[in-house]
Amino acid sequence: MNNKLEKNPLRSRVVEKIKSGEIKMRPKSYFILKGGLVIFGIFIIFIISLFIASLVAFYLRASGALLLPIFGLGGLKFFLFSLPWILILVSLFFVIVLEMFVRNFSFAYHRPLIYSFLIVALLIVGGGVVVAKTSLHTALYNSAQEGHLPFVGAFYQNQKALPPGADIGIVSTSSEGIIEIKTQKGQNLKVIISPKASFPNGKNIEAGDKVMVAGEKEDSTIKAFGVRKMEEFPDDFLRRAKIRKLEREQIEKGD
Amino acid sequence: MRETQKTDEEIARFVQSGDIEAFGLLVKRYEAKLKRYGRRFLSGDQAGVEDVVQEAFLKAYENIRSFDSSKKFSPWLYRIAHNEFVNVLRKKKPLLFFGTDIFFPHPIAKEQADKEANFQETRKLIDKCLKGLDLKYKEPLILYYFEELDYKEIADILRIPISTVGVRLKRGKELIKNVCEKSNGTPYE
Repeated sequence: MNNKLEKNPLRSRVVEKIKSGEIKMRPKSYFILKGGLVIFGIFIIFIISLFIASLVAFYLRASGALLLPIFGLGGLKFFLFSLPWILILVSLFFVIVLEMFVRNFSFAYHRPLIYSFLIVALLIVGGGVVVAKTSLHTALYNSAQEGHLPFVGAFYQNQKALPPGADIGIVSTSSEGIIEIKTQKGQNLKVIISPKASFPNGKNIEAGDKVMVAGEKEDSTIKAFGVRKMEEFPDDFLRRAKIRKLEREQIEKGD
Repeated sequence: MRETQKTDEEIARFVQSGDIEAFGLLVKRYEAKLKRYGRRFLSGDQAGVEDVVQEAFLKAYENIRSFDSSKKFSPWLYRIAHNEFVNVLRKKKPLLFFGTDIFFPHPIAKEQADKEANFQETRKLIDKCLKGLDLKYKEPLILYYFEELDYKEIADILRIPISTVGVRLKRGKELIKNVCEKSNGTPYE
């Protein structure tokens, strides 16, 4: 064995393997492409997460569930039952996947995990709320109702309803402590208002008012702990969008 | 090239432009360090250290163009070696590096270099009782006390928060005293 090998066999072996072509240096373009794919992956996962988070916000807005917590603890309980938990868990899964991608960058792993996790979660929840305020889901909802939306349409056809005990309708009769409402689904409900009930938008409830009620439901009677007057039904924006769409279509046909 | 005058990062730039001999210089500079790191890391598997270190150098060469020469070379190379050592251990049993200490900020995270005497004393203690320590604490101790890397460099190698490095070093020192006490009756010779 020559002197050089005895003195530093590892160095020699490494250099020999490189010189023989057994080991090749990867080109810069390989790493640029790899980095690009990671960023593209992050972007795609972010978009999917944003879509799901905004869908959750859209559900809550359209069902009226967002209005429930104003009734206090009981309302909060109904609100939690109204949440589309499967979608929330799917969204959380994507937040975790996104976090795993982001943790590969030094700006993320140098700091405690809670910081980057909160930033990712806030971006998705905040972004989701913003997207939910656009007309995206309204348009997709209307397309799904018309059966023009394959795959994604299923998300809109099984729209989350309020839990039993929380209902929205128009007051048909009103007397001291008792009102009758006709729900959006056409059901007539008798609402017995508890003396301790909360009235976030005033106690003066008359026939023809749109209301949301929350309480203990038994058959077609609700013992309400909260009654809220509303200017309009939470899902009225969907109907308005549909009317606008029909009007546009009629104008286009007329042309 | 006059090798003693060049920094690792300058040599890495030569390698990136195709100078194979320059890579030999980097191997020369880091061979002993990585072997020492590997011997302590793979305390139960001394025989294969040289092969694993060689594999780490070959991986480093393959991926040298991903190295950003505006940053320090040593944490980048140690990261590759760390991955190789972990792969060796994973072939034998599943490893769990994940700890709750990476979740939240820690107030004790500030880097405080031990006084020289204390540093040497801790080093002796670690060298003696390292084998019985959990890998999660063992590795920061090796990198800090034997490879003399700072918190940020260790954080880059292990991909954990800088404050967690401080926590694991502190906890690791406490644990190693216990390990030494159990094996010898006293933490110090």
